[in-house]
Amino acid sequence: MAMPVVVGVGAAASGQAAVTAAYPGGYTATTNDIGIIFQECENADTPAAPSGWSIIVTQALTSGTTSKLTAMWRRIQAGDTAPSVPDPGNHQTVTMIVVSGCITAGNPWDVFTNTTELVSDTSVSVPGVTTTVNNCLILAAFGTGQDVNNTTALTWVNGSLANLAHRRSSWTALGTGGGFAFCTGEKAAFGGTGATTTTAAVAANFKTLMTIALKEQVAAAGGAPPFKRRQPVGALLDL
Amino acid sequence: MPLSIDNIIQSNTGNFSATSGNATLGTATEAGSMVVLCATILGADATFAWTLEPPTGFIAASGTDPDGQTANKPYIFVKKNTSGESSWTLEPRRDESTGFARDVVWAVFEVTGTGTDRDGAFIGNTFPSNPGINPVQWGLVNVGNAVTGTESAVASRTTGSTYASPCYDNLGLAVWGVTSADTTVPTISGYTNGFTEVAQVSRVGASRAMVMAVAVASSINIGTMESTASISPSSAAYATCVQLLADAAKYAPDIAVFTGFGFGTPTGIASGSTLLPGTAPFDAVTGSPAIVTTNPRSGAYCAELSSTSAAEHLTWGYASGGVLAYTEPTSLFAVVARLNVYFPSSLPSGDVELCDIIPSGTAGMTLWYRSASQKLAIKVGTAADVLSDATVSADQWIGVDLRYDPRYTNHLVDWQVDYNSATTDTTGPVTQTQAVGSGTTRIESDGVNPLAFRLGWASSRTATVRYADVFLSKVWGCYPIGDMRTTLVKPDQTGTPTISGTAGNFRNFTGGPAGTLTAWSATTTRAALDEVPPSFGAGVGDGLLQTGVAGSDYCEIPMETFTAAPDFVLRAVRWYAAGVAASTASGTMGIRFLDTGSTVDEIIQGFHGFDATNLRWLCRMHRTWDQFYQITQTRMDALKAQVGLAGDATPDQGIGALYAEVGYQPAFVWGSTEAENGAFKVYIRQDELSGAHISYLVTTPSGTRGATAYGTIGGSDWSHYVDPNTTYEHTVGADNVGGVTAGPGLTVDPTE
Repeated sequence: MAMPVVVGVGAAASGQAAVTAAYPGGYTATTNDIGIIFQECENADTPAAPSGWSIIVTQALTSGTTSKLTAMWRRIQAGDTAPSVPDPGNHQTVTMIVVSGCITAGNPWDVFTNTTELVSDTSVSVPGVTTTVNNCLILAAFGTGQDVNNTTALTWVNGSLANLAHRRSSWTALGTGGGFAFCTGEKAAFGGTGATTTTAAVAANFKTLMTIALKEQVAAAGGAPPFKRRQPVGALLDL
Repeated sequence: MPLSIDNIIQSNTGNFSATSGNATLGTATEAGSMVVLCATILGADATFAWTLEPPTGFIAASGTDPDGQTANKPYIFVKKNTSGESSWTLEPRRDESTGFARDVVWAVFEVTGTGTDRDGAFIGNTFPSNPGINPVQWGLVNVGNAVTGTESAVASRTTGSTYASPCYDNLGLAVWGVTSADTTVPTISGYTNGFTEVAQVSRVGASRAMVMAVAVASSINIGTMESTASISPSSAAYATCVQLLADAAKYAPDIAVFTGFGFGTPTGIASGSTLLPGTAPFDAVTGSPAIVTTNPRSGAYCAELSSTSAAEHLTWGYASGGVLAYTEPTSLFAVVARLNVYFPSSLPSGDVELCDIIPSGTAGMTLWYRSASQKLAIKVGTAADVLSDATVSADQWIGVDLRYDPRYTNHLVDWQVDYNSATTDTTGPVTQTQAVGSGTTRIESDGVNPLAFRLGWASSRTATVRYADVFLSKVWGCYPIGDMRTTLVKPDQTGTPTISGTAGNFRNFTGGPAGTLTAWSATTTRAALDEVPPSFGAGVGDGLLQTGVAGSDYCEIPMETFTAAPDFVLRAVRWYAAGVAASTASGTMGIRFLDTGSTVDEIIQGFHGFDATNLRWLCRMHRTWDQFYQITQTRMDALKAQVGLAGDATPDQGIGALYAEVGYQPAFVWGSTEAENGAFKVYIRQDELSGAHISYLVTTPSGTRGATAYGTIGGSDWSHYVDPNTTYEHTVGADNVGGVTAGPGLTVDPTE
């Protein structure tokens, strides 16, 4: 089987109302592609997924310069149009990444983790996950509530991931302001991804952190099933 | 929002050697911006003292000048609420006279987002000329420490610490002024405590070179700020630091006094030390208030004021000799209050004053219950009532937050009402229309300040009103104080009182302090001091006495603790000691109040007027008089009193009861994580003001997938696997936002 492939990343959109999460340039909706929308908004805001989309996870930053980072997804169908992301409240900035080659039924992710770093600095370390299947496309993202306009591309580091690539930075000064940046990398053999690190191009602040492992399309009938190791990892970590 | 380096939207540096020079910005300032002008004047003159005065409209936010004629002198001048300005003139002064040229370096910054809440409220439309201690009441800048430094060459220089700020959203701004012994320009670098350089400017003079560096750091913690910089080569160096406070910044409740009436008796409610006025639970009482156990809001007691065509009230005084005179500031302050009232059985049939704030020399404000509308009302001076937006109900606690600001000609009152402030009710308060006074006079100078805060009515009224959980602050930014609750802790019955000195100098008594004396024992002592209310009267009561002369001997009594987490946050502690003496003869004693370190506050050794039959209290807030004091859980756990310090043998002096009343607030619950459309959730209980994490709640759905919660607390990683269909709570109990550096994180089990 094969690693999921990034089809493209749409332009960032920001607003204080509903905004459209654009498809990547030139993209035509293709059945079974996976769309992932990252959204940053204010902590007190209420994110909502567009019609037909679902929220994977929302991570709030409830102290310091507050913020909220949300990942939403949809298994795209031919004919879909770029979705309108509902107004969460204060402000939002969104970006869609489209991935092909993911599993075509059920949740497209193997595992994800999310947390916050409550240290005000520009050093970013997005915690990794332990994938349980081979060929996972890793999305690592962080957000802050910094009230600035910024789209600086970042350099990401993770020795466990192949083809690590910055995908988008988008900070907005609308409302209380905030934004996020994310990258993708490839984890061919199941196991721990380790942390993905970078240096923020915005001022030192607390951060939301998120890693999502998208899994490959399962083998057709008669093919070799992907290896899968049952968690819970938590039982091993429990103190 | 917290301030950061991003709030500096433009800056410029320069230097001159002239009788005056202009500090300039490239673009005119935006409306509302603060201008921070840092400057250093060359010292190193054995004949004259060279100084800089604040440019027009500025105040010196940094502290006092270094002494001596030879010192170079860094300054931080600030001007709030500018608009369209771009140039400001600096004039060197020689022995306080202008017209003399001198080397000056400067750096100027336009800063947005600083506090503008007090716009227009400053005397003369500027900062107070001498902000003094605890200037955070002005809502703009926590005036820094005195300039620290030396003319001797040093390789590093600390700014010294600023005053502790009760504000959570600060920008520390530090300035170093350095002068070399020759024309080599020194470098300043390596700023500690997260400070980032925003300017470094130098000037080479005829025989010496000078350099000034400015660095900033964000802080979302209360407390002091400080930074140390390296200097190369070693040079004469001076430094100072201030904290700029953010607009609408959050403040820890800086409580000047409070009570939940947990001491349980009206007896002696206005009787304190005759040596130290202001040590009774209240300063004055009129009528016969009761302390009752019926429907207390929190704790075990509340006060009930009830009269028929009569006045009845309890008063705290701000002037010298009042309970509130023991904390700074003592002039030019606002009154911030939280009180809870309860009308038992029915609403009063007529109008009744619920509380007054009484200034000297001018009209004040009154919180009324108005029977015609069945609403609360604020009346300021002779202005018309501002009625609450809704009616109030009997048999229900009602919480009122007030901020009375007499620093305007027309005094202002901001207020909000929680129409059901029962501790079990989750409905929040409703902001009310600001009341603007009429016939009031602006508080302008020392001695013309709020004089008293009065619970109840000074006029003849027929009413019954209960009061609970009353808190006062003098810090403008502490409004609203919000849902404060109280509980009482007593001597720890599992702890061990100890004697410092000679145990034989202490005795326990029964049958009153003139009754039967027994050899001191730790067990008897702790058991004798915990009854609530105290047992007092002729031949009644037990307790602790010092019977031998030993001015440094004391009995240390550890107190019970109150564990706030996972549901609450600690805010304040107030001590109550019931003083006793074997007779009315003059004799001395004292009490110290401590937690983890040295004495926090004390009732000094002296004759306090105790006797064997009348209850006389010694009350103090557990705080320092001049700065905000945070009650952390560690401090709460270590709470103790030292009783004794008697400098004479007779009469025997001591205490019959010892309590510490604790003020606390509920933690605020935030949703932290919602995964898979809310199937997995993490909530944070946190201090709403500081952001400190108190506990985490993790819930997982039914099925086969659980999740691992994780984070880093106090530098230690933790994780816990939460089984499917389970709710798990992880207690954190952090004292500030820095207590947690990561998390709470969540890793959901892999998709099936």
